[in-house]
Amino acid sequence: MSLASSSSGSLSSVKVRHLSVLYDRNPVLWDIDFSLPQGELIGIIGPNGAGKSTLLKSLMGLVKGHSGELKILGHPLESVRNRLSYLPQRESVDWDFPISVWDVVMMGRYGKMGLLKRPKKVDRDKVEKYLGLVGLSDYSDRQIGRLSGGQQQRVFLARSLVQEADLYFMDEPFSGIDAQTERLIFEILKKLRSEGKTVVIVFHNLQTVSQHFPWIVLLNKRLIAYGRTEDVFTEANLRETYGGELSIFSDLRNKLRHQDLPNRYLFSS
Amino acid sequence: MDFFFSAVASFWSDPTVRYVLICCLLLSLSSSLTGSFALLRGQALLGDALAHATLPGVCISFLLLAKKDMGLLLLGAFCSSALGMWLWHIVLRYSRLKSDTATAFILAFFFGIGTFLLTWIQGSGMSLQSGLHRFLFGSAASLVGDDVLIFVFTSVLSLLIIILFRRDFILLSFDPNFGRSIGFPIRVMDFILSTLLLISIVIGIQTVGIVLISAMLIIPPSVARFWTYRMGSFLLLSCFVGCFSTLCGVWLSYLGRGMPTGPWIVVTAGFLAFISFFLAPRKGILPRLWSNRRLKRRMRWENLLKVFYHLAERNEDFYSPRHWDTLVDSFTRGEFEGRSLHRKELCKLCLRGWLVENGKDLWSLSPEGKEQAYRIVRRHRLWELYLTEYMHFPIDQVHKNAESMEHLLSPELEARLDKKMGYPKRDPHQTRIPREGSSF
Repeated sequence: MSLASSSSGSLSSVKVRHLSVLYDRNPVLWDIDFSLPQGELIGIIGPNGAGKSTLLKSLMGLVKGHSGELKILGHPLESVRNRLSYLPQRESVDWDFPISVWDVVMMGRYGKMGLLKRPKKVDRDKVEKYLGLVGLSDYSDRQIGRLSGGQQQRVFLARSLVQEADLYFMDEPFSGIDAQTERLIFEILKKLRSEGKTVVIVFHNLQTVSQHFPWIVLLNKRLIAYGRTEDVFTEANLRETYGGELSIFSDLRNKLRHQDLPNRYLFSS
Repeated sequence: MDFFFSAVASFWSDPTVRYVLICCLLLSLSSSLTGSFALLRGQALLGDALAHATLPGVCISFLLLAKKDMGLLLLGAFCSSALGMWLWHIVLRYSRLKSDTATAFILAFFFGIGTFLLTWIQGSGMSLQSGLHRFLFGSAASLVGDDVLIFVFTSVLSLLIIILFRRDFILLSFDPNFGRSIGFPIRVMDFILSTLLLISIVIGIQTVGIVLISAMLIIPPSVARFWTYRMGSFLLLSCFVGCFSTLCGVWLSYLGRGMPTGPWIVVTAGFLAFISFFLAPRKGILPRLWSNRRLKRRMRWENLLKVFYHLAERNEDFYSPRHWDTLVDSFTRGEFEGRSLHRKELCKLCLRGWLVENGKDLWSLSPEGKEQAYRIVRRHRLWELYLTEYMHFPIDQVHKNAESMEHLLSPELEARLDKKMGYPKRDPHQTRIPREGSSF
């Protein structure tokens, strides 16, 4: 495991120690330890089923059965939730739902509203602003199912941006989109970075990783490497990430699935 | 007309009918709304299971009290149904059963216990037990003044809560994970919404019965779903469908004395659902068939105009008349889909102003028809060019594809294609791409 030192002396955006997640006694993430810098675009890279989405979800406290320590922006998760934004996978919702583009994006403001979620003028203005930024102003009244895949992804992006967070977690915002939307998203990401925001993104395209992400995390159920892309994006690391499961590790996993071993014997933290 | 008004007057002046109507309307309001959210959350069948899970509670509280106090019986129903819901959650979380299996399991298990208890009570010869049966199939006619109070209180309460917290419930139904990510109390909202669902089930079982209450929850929102894509109108329409079928059901059961109210309500709502299934715009079967037919008709017309264009292209004589035999011959050679050419179709194009009839069996293009013919041929050739230049199709394969795409390209797409390729003059076969104003 290659450990790059944090880029600057500044506070880390995400710091995890001994993070493990079990689904149905099946470890999806195994003893992850890392610390990510602030103000960077950070790509999370790994094969299918490597636990990339699970990692993001557990950083947002959305999965059960995880153990370990987590500090976000230097604080416990719950105290900084209103400085975070989470963009889920597009497939995670029902796009046939009778709801308009505008209403979905407005949900991004709910975290800053009171109990009854009455939008104020400032909320409406922000929704309008970010709908314009992702180029969906003309579609704000449209039911979300009647958009193309790229437009649907932009709806989620607008909902994420309208939260005006300091730290963004985005789960595969590039899946199933057209080239135009991809360019647009990267432009927006660069803008966020120039404003000092941190964006952690699950990413797939190995060809363009080094072009877009100054920092990466290589993941395959366990942490392979993390750090500056030029240091970490090496052939050896990639082979380790994509080169099939380690046999002892997978044997142990199978054993675990079939036996009622209490978790605390597996993960000491 | 007089007869109608006197019928309405006598309908309304009957106090029993009035109670029944008010109760049923309130019930259908709250069940349509809670049912709407259940449907949106993909839990359509959960309501059915929870309704069946009320039976053990009714029986047990009857056994404990040995009398029929409606309030306490309903409380028992609520408790056992809540237990059913809690077990459903537990089964879902800790077993590997799928949601529908877990739902069916809870339904059968609780209803089994309930049936067992009910049979036992009936065999035990306790007095007053006969009324318990009405929970199974409902008996709206037996609603009395006191029941109205319970209905008013619970329905108004659920209506208020849903109106106030509608945005929270929508978020909960649409994207609960995102809700959790912004620190939104998903579990509390889930609990409130589930409690409202339970309440409408419990007050509904006296009216339409355990077996049919799920229809009151599910049919109104399903009907509404056919007609709208907007949340607000979806919820309102769902309420309207619930109330309308209730009104019809109560009315129908009033007309035929001794007819059951609940089943009539459900049957009316079911009819509305079937009507929507056939007629609803976009989603209904008939409008889909209709728009399909229109597309096919348009394609034929456009093909026919194309025939005129091709006949005229070589000699640039777009307005000279063509004989019927020539047209049939060219149309057949075009190998278009569908049956052979019919005279009536030419007449229809005359009526549209695209063709002019010049004597027996002779037709020519009108200026407007020529413009249409230009448009369709231009789309065909632009698309061929796009396929060869941008999609790298072999030149001998593009014609077939363009034959269908020419009918589907919208003016906007055509303009974009044209711009992208720099307003080309010739297609890949080196024939001219026709444009308005350009002469040959």
